[in-house]
Amino acid sequence: MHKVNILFLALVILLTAFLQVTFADALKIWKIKPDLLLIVVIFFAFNGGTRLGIKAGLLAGLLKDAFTSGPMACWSVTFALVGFFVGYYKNRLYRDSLYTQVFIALACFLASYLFYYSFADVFNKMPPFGESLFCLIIPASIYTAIFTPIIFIILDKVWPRKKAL
Amino acid sequence: MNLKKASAFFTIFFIFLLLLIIPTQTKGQVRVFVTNTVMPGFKAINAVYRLPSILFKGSKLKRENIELKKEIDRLKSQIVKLNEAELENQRLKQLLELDKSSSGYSVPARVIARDSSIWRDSLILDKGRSKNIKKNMIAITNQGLVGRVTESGPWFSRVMVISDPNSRVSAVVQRSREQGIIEGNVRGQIRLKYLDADADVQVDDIVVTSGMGSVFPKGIMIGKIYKVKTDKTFMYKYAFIKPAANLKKIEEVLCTK
Repeated sequence: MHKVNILFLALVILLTAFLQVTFADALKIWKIKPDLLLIVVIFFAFNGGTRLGIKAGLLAGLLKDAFTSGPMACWSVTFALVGFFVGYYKNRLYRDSLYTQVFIALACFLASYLFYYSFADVFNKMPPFGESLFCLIIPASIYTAIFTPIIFIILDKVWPRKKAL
Repeated sequence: MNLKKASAFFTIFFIFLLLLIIPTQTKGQVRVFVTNTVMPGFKAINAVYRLPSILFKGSKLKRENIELKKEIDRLKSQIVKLNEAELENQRLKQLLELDKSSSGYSVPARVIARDSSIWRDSLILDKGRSKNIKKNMIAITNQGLVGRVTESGPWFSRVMVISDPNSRVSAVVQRSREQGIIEGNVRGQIRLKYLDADADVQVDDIVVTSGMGSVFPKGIMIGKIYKVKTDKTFMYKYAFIKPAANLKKIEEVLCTK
């Protein structure tokens, strides 16, 4: 693990948020688009641990909250939890494996979106659960998981990890 | 779990508790604040993105073209309104009332972002309260209705698109005057619901706003029916609508009262 400048973190997340609300629509298949912000949170948590994961999660969640019409701060808490848990288990996972990246993204997406759904439902009426799960959450989790290795490769180039001694 | 990790976890728990006790209005203000804070950055990136087209396409001609297109948009929407008014005249209703309900100022705005959530369908516009865009104004294009302004900050506003699962628009079938409610769903479909089981609705019927509820003015084009179905209980009919406005590729809208 090595330190990351908070400004760098903010810049990467801000740019990703911009991509998410503009260019991600070009990647839309039917109503499904990849969650680029979630991938970035997983990346920072994987590389930086729990604290960086939480910081990235809160910031990414705050921006996602700002750019969606759902209840405010629900995404912040959800993504912060993703950052925490990925950071917590990072040493037990082989991060460089493509399968690990895909599997973690898939699991995080499913867990975070199901958590968000039940959490946001307290404040706002959410669409029916069955329809949401089968029409949106599962297809979007697969789409996001497929995208994860690509984003990891790009971010690895921007923020290369230190070689282990 | 060591102390550092436990403290990190409790930070999230604290935010979670805070979230539960903060009033919804305050949360809305926080959202407006965050969106406003990042908006200049978003506008700057958008401007950079559009720079080549501004430089290479002849700015004066382009401006004239944009103005003329806006004029055409206004005229086309007027035609839809006039058709509706003509029908209304035939039924001996006062045109004056329609003019009163639909007249008002309008503000053109550019779409700079879309909802990042998979559940919602909303647009973020580059203009807000400073340009007189207020909550509950409606957003239209030359083709038809886009949605309703649900949030308005100083320099941005948010439009809930008619395909959003939380959107409700009272509508009427132009030919038969059958009334229903337009709703979106998670599949991205738009349905005209709560039609009577014996309602006279057919494929290719035009659906317009009914003016009920006073948010959406009467006679704005919503779309065409492409499929009619009967509810499982056989008590209602519902129809699938193809929106007149291309909701997936909206770049500019006209916000009007």
